[in-house]
Amino acid sequence: MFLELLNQDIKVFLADVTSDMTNTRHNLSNVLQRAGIEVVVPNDKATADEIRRQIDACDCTIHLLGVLNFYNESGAGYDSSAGLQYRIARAIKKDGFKMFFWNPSGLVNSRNLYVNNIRRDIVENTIYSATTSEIVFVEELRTIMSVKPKPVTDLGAADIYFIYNDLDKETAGEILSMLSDLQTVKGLSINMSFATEYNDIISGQLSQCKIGVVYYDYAEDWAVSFARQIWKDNGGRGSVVPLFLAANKNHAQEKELNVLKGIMEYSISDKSVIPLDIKIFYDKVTTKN
Amino acid sequence: MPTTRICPYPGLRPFTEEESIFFKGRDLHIRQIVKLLEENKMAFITGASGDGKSSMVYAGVIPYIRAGFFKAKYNSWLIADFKPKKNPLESLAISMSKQINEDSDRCIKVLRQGFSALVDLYKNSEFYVTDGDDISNRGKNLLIIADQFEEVFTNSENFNQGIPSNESYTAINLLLETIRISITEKLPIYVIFTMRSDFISQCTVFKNLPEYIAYSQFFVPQLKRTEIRQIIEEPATMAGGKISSRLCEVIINNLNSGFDQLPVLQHALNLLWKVADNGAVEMDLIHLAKIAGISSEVLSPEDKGEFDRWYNNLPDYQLKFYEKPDLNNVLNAHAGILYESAYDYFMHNSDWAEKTITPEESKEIIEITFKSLTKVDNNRPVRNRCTLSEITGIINKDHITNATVCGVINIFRTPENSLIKPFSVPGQTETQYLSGDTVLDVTHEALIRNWKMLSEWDNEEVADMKDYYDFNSQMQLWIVNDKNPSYLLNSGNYTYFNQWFNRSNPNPYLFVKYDNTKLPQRQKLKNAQYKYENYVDFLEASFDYIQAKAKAVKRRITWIISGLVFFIMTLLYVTYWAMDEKSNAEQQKIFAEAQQKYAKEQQKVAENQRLAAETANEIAKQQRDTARFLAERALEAKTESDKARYVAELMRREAVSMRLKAEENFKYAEDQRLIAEGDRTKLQEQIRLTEEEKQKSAKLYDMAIANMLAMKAKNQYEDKKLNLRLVLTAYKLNERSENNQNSAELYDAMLFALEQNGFIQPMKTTNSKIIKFAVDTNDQIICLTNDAQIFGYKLVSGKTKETLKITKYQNSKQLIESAYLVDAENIVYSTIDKNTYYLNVTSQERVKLPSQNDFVKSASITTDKRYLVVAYQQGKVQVLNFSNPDSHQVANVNLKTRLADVNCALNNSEVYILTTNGQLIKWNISKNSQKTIFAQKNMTASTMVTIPNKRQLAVCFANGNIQIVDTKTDTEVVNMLGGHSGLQNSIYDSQTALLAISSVDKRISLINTNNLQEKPLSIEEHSLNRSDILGMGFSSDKTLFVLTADNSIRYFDIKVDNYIQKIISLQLMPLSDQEWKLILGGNLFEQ
Repeated sequence: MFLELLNQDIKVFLADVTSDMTNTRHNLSNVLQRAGIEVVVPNDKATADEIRRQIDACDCTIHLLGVLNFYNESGAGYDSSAGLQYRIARAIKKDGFKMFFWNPSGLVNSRNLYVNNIRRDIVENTIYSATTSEIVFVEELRTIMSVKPKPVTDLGAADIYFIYNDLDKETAGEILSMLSDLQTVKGLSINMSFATEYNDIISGQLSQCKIGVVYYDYAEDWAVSFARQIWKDNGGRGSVVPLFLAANKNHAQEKELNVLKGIMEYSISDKSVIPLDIKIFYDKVTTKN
Repeated sequence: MPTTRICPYPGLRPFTEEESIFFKGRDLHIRQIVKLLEENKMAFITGASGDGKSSMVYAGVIPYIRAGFFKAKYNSWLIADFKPKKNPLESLAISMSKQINEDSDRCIKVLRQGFSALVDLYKNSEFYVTDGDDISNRGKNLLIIADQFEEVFTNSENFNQGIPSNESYTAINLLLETIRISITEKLPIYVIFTMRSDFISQCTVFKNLPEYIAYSQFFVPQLKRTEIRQIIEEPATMAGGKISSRLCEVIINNLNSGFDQLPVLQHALNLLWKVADNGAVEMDLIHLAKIAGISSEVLSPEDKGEFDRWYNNLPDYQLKFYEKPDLNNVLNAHAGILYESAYDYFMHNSDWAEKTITPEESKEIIEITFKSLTKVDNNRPVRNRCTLSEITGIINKDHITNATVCGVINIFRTPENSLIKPFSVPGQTETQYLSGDTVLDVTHEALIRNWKMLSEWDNEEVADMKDYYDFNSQMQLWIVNDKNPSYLLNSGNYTYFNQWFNRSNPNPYLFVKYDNTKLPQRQKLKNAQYKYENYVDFLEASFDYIQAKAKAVKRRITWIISGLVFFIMTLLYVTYWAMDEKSNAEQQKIFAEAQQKYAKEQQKVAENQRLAAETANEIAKQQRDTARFLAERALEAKTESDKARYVAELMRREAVSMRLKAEENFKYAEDQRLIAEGDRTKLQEQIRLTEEEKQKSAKLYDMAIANMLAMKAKNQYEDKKLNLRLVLTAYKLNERSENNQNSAELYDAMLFALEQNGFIQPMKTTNSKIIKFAVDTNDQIICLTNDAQIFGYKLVSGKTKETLKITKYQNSKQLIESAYLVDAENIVYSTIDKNTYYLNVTSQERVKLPSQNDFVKSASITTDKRYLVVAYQQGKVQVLNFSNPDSHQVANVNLKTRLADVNCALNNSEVYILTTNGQLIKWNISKNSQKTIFAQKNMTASTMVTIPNKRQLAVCFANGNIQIVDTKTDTEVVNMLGGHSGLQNSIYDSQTALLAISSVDKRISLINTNNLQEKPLSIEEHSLNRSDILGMGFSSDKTLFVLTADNSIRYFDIKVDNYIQKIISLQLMPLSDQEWKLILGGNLFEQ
């Protein structure tokens, strides 16, 4: 799995540099190619549009930071090709696209204070590295760009993803049946004797639903841990698909669910009321959105 | 959605299972470990210190498998985790016993057998299910976790000089065999080890362990940039917070790789979260600058301005920590600030500790605490768990107790700081004030390596310990050579080690810290104490030896110099003598020659003179010899004298020293004597107090028994004499305990017992209906019947004697509706036709009072016998000339409300009128003016009585309240409860100062107005034939007469003594043992 990730194809745009970084850029280009990464170097005579197209075709850009200022606020300053390419790259909006800044000296002094500005301007898709070694830099780049594909479960979209333990299949079946009358539901029964990558399956399907529900009756030892793990694997409070834990009052106790406070909502109800609890939660979430 | 933000970064401590939701960056590794477990039944996780092995297991693997992402036989899990500590077998057994609900001692016993013992324990537990319908519900898989497995090698109890202890060997045998058997038998048992990789080579001492490691080792990989980013960013997002990308990039780039990468990161993130208002605002560069993790120069101008304002408000002692801001400085700055502010924290918290230390001592306590919690192992500072008492012992100052140490270091244990375990919990004192045997530990070794001050302390201790070992080896040589002085320290070494001793101030607790033997702690401390004494002896002996040697050398030099001086003096003397002799000889020669010349001239004379000269010369020679001999003797005598003087001087000095010592001893003895004297006085005082307490306790016991007997005396017994005997016994116990013998309980019991035995009988009076009565000064009881007859009775030797009978006003047709006896002489009554009469008993004269068309309620006569004041039920009050009451009224008033009572004041011109609606009004007759003394609106007043000797008025209310008013000032003196509700009649006896108050529940309370705190005596309804009380009166011989609705007059002695004499006169048997037992119960009787 790990090696597969490293074998992915990566295409980088190695931006122009200030004169003090020419040699470093040359060495970096060699190391990148040895690492199996395709390097795109801009042509001296390329227009801004051509450069934009070149960058757009790459997975990321690399900008080397030296002592000399590679851009100025007006955009028409010294060594403007490096500055121009930086501004073009910043305007690229593409999923997974990244900008790498490498400051191999690691220094910020009075002559290159612009590095501070760049560090302050770092946004989500920007990576700044101050490592002195090209190899370390390239290794980092390759790891960052080797994105694990998101698992997709092809069950189709639904309002509610209803997950339960195989131990509780009887009552879960009844609830599923009642719930189906209210909303579209996809169900998943977890059987612990099967060696299945449930978390991948769940992550894939969850992204196609509006809420996720974990239900339990007898499987109280399993449910809370399971719900927490699913919450963790799917982004916690930052997730767009909220989770709800529905506990059958046969076996559930409030104190066992205390660990979920501040994490997700839950209810302890009779099985006949559980579909309503879920529906209320669903309405609350969808109304808010 | 929930709004509470939980801090998702644990700081230096590992993630708990509950915090696992925020444990990110290791997802791939967790899956790899789980896969190893599924396939091999075991995973041996190794890695560098501080790379998160434990967190990966507790916050990664365990939640993952509990969530069901692990193919196993059952749904649920038993997690038996343990750290080897100082006995791996015991630690394993205790952990297993908790999981399988088995006694830990039995577990240890079984596990000592090794091999399949662990598997057998599991298979015999309720959690291993092989058949039945609900296998997967009842059964539980077993996961054993041997965390920090390196403790098998780091603790000398487990592994000493390359040899493992039996317990270590057995524990490892059990774990490896358990893996083997669970693979063979396909049992749901799994084992995880975590160990620092630098101990891997030592594993070879355990048979088969290297093979198992090779079979299932997982080396924790270094985190990649993307994973570090996950660790930083994702927990914040999951907890509802946010971290800026630029801060994330700065942290990633500034983070050192290798040792302590993760702890330093987690610690910084934890502080960042808190500084960013607990995640309420986006964590950014300014927050990193505020925790001394980055220079403020990097900040944007706005942030820089904000930072500078914040920085300028910091206390001076904090500023130095911001001089070299860096991510790796954050922990150093944090610990340093806590070190500086610990004293203030201690002074404002820890109410349970005495605050007698100085700020410097607070710092010293922290230094010694951290030095104690770390030690040097192979030149590496490592953690060293130790108890609070051990640290206090190393500090070794009388005024610094466990509570002081605990209070000072508590700032390092708060949940916000968590640098020392165990952590405190706000509001739970028991987690703040630790017991002496609580084991303390630094949360992570990263603290040791990153807190510069602690590193310096450790370096100092390394140097000190090197000196200690050198010193120890020197001392051992001395000891093994029977303390031969030649093995004592020479002058140079002595100076060096003495300086070390004074600087490091070692003590036995410090030696225990470096005692690597397997001995029990107590034995180690004993040995250390012995060792310490030897050290002190060794130093002292060395000092004495060096001093003695120096003195000997000095003495030798003195002797040599003295000898030399003597020799020179002798030589000079001899030379002088020889010269003198020579000179003499020359003179003699000249003289002889002259003599010879003269002899030649005078031969005969000369011959004679020559002979005389020769003789004289001989004599002179002899005299010179004698002189020389005497000079030598004198010199010898002088030397002897010097010696004697020297010895005398020495003896004098010794004598002075001895005298001083003797004086000291005397002073000490005197002090001791004074202390002993003080102790003896204290002891005597203690004995006296104890004796008093004992007596008090005996009295209390007697009182309790007396009360109990009094209670028992109110029971119905077949033998009614028993009631009397019980009362008598209770009385005697009260007498013995010096209790109030007139106690209310005893009084009531006595009346009951006397009634039971027929000693209390009503007086025999007329059959006509008596409606009121009064007692005159001769103890004659004057009774008024409803048909206006008057009878007088007297008690003579317990028998009723009729002394008066007035029948001339008898009228059976116009019966009396209401009457009031001002006293035994003056009666006012109203007949049913609303005519009111005044009747004088002495003169037997009756006059009709001016009509008011109402019934009399009360009446009173002024003390000067001038006026008769009559109050009527519906509110009218009339004042009449007492000498001529049937004439016109002197004054009158109509209050138009029902009246309860009327009473003349002592100044003869004022009348107190009590209305039933709770008003007490003072009516001035001469001025015809009214003044309301009080108005108790919601209370119904019933009666009032004068307490003449105190110039007070007691007003009684139906609700049981008694309000006593001072008639001098008309103010309330006291407001008290009369014991019962529904107060009806009241009467006061000046002789006994008793206030008798009857109530509608047919009881009478006798209140001692001299001591209102005293429990009132009570005459209960059983003593009054359960009849309503119509009136009361005191006689001069302290008897209370009571008229009840059953037309009886009863009388009661108001002192117990009178009744007791009566009972004693019956000569009753004392209570037998059997009766005691029966009445008090077996146990109480024995006591």
